[in-house]
Amino acid sequence: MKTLVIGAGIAGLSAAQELRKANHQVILLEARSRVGGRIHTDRSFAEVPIELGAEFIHSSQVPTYSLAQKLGLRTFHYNQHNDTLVRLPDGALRTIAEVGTQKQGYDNVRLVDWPEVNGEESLEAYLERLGERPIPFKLQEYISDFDHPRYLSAKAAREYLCDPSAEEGDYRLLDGYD
Amino acid sequence: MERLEWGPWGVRAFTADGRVYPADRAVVALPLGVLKAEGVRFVPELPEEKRQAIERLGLTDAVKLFFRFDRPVFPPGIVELYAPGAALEECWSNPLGHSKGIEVLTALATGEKARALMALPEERALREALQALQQALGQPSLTPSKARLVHWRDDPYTLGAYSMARVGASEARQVLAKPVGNRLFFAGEHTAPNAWASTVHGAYASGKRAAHEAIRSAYREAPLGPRRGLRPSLPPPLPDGRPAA
Repeated sequence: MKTLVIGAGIAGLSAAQELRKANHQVILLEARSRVGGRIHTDRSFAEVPIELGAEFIHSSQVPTYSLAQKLGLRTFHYNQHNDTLVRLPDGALRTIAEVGTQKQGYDNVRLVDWPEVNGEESLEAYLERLGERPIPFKLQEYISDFDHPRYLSAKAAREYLCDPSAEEGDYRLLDGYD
Repeated sequence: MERLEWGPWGVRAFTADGRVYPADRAVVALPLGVLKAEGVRFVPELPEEKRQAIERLGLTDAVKLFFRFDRPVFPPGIVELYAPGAALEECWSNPLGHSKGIEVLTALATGEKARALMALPEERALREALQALQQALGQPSLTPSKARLVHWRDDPYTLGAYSMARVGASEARQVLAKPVGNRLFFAGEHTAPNAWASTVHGAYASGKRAAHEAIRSAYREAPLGPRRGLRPSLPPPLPDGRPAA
């Protein structure tokens, strides 16, 4: 059984690995002179590696976390609680842990009971319906990672917020993602 | 690869330098940006539903900025700064730098802010981003020893940073993940469920999912499988008249 895999980013590589396990003959095609796609570590910019593409393992609930553990890779945990500063409207810098206790909900998606979404509404419209409540950090981060909430699907954002991977901080592979 | 032919007979990939790779099936793990730009031609073209989903699903405009400082910038124990509404909202530190007495900060700009930065010459974009960082940190004289920015929009093999569920596209990734004709199987961050899309774990899991779909499909058509070696037809001859393997 011969199977082509087109693209040697992490998706193509994991597909190729599974196909080989099932004894498929695999031909992996890649346009670049390296594998990894949008995973690309640079070690020339500074004394420590920088990630030109993907950078974090988003929570310990995802398969890449177990993979890193299995491979014995060094990780660093960003707890996004007492190690992360938030700039408040008055310019003061406080940790999320501090702000979270003042404004309940800021640091924990679980504390929010996310109502159902009305069809294909925007995240902006959805948040307006929710009214004046503090937005949890992970939702702030979701917005900052994509675009203005008027462009984003509320349904997709809610699916993320209800996933266990939205409930904790991130991990960094200290020696590089590649 | 320039062109991927597929049909009941199997698949065939044609590269720019004229090589042909025939196979039974293909796992397509191309980035969404390449699919959107039709950087690879499917023959026959993908079903309408799939083409519409490729168009509907958004691509995030994202710029990553890197700054190296000769001394630590964050207070001890702090590795990340979030400044909602600021010109640069997110920046974080590589904690390895702290043990070396330096700081390497990475900042991410997306959406309007990324589009504005991408419209500027690199040097100016870095200068403006630095000002935003100085402001967010409340350190107006902060000066890096080195700065660099990266975005994936102009990389010909990527053509964009990562997928984004725009309004109206909440089902698009699910459509993009569907196999076509027992021949094409789709992987990539943009085929992951919304909760896992745009990430490495989403891409990784999608590769496994697509591989298992291909493995099951192969089993169904295998000589001892339920459909007992059904191989509907032969591939069409190659354009230069060579017989099709």
